Amino acid sequence: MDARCLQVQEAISRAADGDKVTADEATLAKRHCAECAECAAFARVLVAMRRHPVPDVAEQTVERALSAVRDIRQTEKLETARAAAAARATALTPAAGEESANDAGSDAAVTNKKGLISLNERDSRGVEVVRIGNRIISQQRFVGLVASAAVLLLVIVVAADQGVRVMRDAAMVSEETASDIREAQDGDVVLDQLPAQDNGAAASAPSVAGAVAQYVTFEDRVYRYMGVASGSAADLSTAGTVRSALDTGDAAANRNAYTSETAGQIIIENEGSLLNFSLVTRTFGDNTYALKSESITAFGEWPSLPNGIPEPSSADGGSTFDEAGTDDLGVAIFTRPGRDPESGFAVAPGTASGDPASGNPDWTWWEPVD
Amino acid sequence: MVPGEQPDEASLVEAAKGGDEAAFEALMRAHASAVYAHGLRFFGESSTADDVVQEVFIKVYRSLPTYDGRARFSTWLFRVTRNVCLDMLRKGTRRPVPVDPIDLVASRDQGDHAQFVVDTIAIEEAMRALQPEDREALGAVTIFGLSYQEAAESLSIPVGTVKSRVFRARRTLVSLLDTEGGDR
Repeated sequence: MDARCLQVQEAISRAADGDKVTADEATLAKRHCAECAECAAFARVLVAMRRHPVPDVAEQTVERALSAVRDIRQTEKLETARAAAAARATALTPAAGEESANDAGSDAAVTNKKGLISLNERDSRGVEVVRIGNRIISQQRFVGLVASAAVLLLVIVVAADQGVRVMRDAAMVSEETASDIREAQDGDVVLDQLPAQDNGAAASAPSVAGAVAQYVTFEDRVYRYMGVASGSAADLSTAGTVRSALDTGDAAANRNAYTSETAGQIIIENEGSLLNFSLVTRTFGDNTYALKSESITAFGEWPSLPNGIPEPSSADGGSTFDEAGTDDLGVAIFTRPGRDPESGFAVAPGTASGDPASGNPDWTWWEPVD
Repeated sequence: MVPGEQPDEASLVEAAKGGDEAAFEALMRAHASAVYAHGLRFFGESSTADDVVQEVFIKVYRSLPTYDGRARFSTWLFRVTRNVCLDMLRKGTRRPVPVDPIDLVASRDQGDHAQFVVDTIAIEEAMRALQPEDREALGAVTIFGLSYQEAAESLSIPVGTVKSRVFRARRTLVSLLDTEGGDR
C-alpha cells in the first residue's frame, strides 16, 4: 500500500464518521478506488459495517436495569420520608431540658434553659460537637442518635396499633409526617385513619402496614431485596436455603436460594417468582465488608448484632466497642477492644441516608468479604 | 412526560433531572443498546454487558443531577459507560475475554465471504481483536455518535489521536473481514 492509498482510506474513514472531506479529496478517493482493489475493498467493508447495527440489547436486560433503578428510587423516597419523620418527631420531643434546643434558632452556640444541651460548639480540633451535660459528642453522632430516637418512636406507634399499647403515651407522629411516608410508598404502605394531633398530646396509634426493612440472611450475611428477577429457577444453580416469611405475614419458611450471575447477589424463589437480593456491604480501606446479623425471618426486621457481641450500653460504644476511625464513607466505625478493624467492626445506628445501614435503629456488625 | 408525546432528548434529560421517571426510562431505553454494545465490546461477554447496562443505568440515575448539559447527553453517557467498565475491570469483578485474531482468520475461510462480512457475530469477534484503545475510540464515534472533538475530550487525548485510532481500528477490521482487498 502506498502513500496515496493511505491518504484515500483515511479520507474514506473520516467521511464515514461525518467529518469534513473536501471536494478534491472525494474526487481523488473515487478515482483511486476505481483503480485500486485494496482501497475499494476498504470502502466496501466500511459501507457494509455501517449497515451492520450495533449489538442489540435484550429487552429483559433493559427491564432488569430499570427495575434496579426503580428499587433505588423507592428506597430513597422511603429514606427521605423517614428522615423527615425523624426531624418532625425530634421537633415534637423535648430533649434533656424543658425546651427544645431547636426553638432557640440561633447560629451561635444554642443552650437549653437548664444548660444541659449545647449545640454548635467546636472542640479543640475544630470539629463541631454537641455538649450534653458534661459529655461531649460529635454533631454527626448527635444527629444520628436523634434520628434513631425518632425511628424508635415510629416503631412504637406501629406496635401500638397492633395491640402493644404500653408506650402509647410516648409516641407522637404528625399528620404531615404520615403523609410523607404515604406518598413515598406510592401505595405500598397504607397509612389510614391517622388522627389529627395536638403537639404534646398522646397519640392514638396509626396503622402502618408493610415493611421498610426488606432483608434476609443467608450464611449469616444480610441481603437486601432488589426487585423481581427474570428467568427460570430451572436455569439457576442452587446456593442453599433461606428461611424467611418475606412480606407474606405467614410464619418463616425455607425458600430455595440460587446463585446469581451478578457478584454479591442471590436469587430467592417465592411461590414461583424469582427475587433478587444483594449483599449489604460497606468499604473500609478499599476492602469490602459484609453486614452480618442474627437470623432475619421476615421483612420489617432489621439486622442485629451477631451472637457473642453484646449491645453497647451507650452511644459511644460503652465498654463493648472502641471507636476506630471512619470507613470510606466517613462513617465512624467501632472495634471490639484490642481488635483491628480489618477483622470486623461495628457501626452505630443513625447513619445518614444512602448509607448501607441507613434506617437501622440498632448497631450493625461488618466482617470482611472473602 | 406527556404520554404519546415524542420529546427531544434535551427535554427528556431536563424532565429526568426533575425526577420524571417516565422521562428517565425513555432516555435510558433510547441509549441502552449503545451502552450494551460498549460493554459487550469491552468485556466480550453478553452477561457482563448486561451487568454494565444495569450499573450504567444506576450511575446515570445517581449522577444525572450533576450533568450540566454543556456536553451532549450521549457524550456524557459515553464517559459514564467507559468509567463503569473501567471500574469493573479495576475491581477485578470482570475480566475481558481475550480473542485470538488467528482464530478469526481461520474461521472466515469457511462459508460464503459476503455472508461473513455482514454476519454480526463475525464483526463482533473482529471488534474484540482490536487494540482496546482503538476499539474504544471507534466505539465512541460509531456507537455513541461522538464527533472526533467530543471523543477527544471524553478520552482526554488529542483529536488527531482519535482520528488515527479510529482509522487504525478500521484498517484492522477490514484486514480481518475482507479477503479481496486487504493488505495481507
